[in-house]
Amino acid sequence: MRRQRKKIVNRKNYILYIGIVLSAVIVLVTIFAPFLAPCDPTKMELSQKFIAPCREFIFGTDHLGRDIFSRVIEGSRVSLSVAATVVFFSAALGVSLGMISGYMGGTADMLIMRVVDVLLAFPTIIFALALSTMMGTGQTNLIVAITCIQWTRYARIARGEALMLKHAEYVEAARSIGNSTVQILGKYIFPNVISKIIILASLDIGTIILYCASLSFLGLGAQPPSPDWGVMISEGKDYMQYAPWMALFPGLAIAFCALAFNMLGDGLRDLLDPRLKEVVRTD
Amino acid sequence: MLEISHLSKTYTSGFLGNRRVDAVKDVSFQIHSGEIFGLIGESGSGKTTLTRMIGGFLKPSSGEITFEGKNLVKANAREWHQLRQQIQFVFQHPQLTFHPRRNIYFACAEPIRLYHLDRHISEKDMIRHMLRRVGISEDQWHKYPHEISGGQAQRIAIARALSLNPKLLICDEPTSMLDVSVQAQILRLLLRANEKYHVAMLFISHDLDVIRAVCQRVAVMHKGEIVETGTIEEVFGNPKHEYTKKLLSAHMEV
Repeated sequence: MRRQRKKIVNRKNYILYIGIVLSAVIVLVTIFAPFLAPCDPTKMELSQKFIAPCREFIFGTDHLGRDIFSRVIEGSRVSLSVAATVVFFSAALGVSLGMISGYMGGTADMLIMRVVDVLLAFPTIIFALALSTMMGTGQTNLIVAITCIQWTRYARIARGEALMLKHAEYVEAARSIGNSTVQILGKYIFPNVISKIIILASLDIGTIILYCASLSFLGLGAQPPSPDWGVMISEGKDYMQYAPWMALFPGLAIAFCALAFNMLGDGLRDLLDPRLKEVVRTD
Repeated sequence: MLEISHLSKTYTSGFLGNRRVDAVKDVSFQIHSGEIFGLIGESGSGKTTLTRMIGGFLKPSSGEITFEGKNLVKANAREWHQLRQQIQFVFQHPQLTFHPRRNIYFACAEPIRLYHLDRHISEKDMIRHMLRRVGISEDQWHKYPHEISGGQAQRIAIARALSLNPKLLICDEPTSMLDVSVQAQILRLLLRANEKYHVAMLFISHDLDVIRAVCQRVAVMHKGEIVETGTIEEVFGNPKHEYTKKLLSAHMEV
């Protein structure tokens, strides 16, 4: 019994450590991409197209003779900057609206939560597809489209937390001592919301990288010749039979990112969420 | 000073609000300045709902609350900011009164910062002075609420409430979570504040001995209604309502 309990705790910690290491690798690659890429990711060399992975081009080259390794590394910049922007704006919007909704209650709460319900009823990818078709393709529109959906998840969590804390004795005490609503939200509710939000945000980065790759694959996000992973897979699918490495390596990069950030998020949740810790302890 | 007339709070639930619960029903009483007014009642009798309405945390369904001529039910946010300085609270769970992630110093500095009380004397000196009055030394300043005892926390809560020089202190079962020796300490502290600064109090408790020890007048609450009001001698010596008699005889047996 005792040994088993220890094992559970350890495994959870490993997930966090692996997640941190992998995510750190991705972030570092993103920052130092221009120094790591051996070739210019958009330079075409038609005499060198469809070269299978070899010593010179470790991921091979594509149908226009571009080095896939350089493109995958540069692509991390596109994916990660989009994901970070989306997470930042969805969290900012979701947390503020969610806290207001939960703390104020009444009409404001009803209005905000009905909007959230409607948006949650759509599958994200379908809604983003519809929005991108309406607003046109391109990276900015992709960011707007995904943010429009993604903020609802933050709003729900922030609302739940605000609702729970609203009647906590220390929040009422803080009100009785003269804090205004804005001060209560900032000083008392926000610090409790933020730890939950960090968990969701790190999980979300993986998800958004996937969404954004899917939308680019469908031709709605970044446009060629931008070295976006979704675009690269989309280009590679036509040559799947004789140059499978064209789609394989960007695909692996997406999987790697999704895995890394999911592990980070899972690990953080186990670390920060006291309810889960309780479950582990009583096991 | 504080006048409550025909105050009610009804919770409705279900389709079209057809299930109703009267938490507080047609309650009227007055508290005069400098007086300690007791409120007795078992749990669920609506005592806390009543205090939450006085504090503006809950909108009453009907009735009036008047504090020094001002209608509290209709007061706006700015008026409340001024009113809060005059009406302060002491809560039941002392350790839950403070921000769990902030230390004692922060808790005590809040009213000073919010009401800019540090015009003539520095924030630090004010806190030192106000905590010394309740016997909390400087080495406790940087502790967190969970690191101090319930009695200490309640003393700090009282010091913090009194730092705003309120005219009315609403004590919602301030001693029920503390053990007997600490209870006496807290009661002495409250009585001293009443004598020295003439703070009026609404003192809520289900402990008849405590009520008898500190209050001048008392009201008995049962199922959301006030069934009897009077001085301590009247209510305890010659109870008129059935419920009060039952309450007193149950207390005698114990």
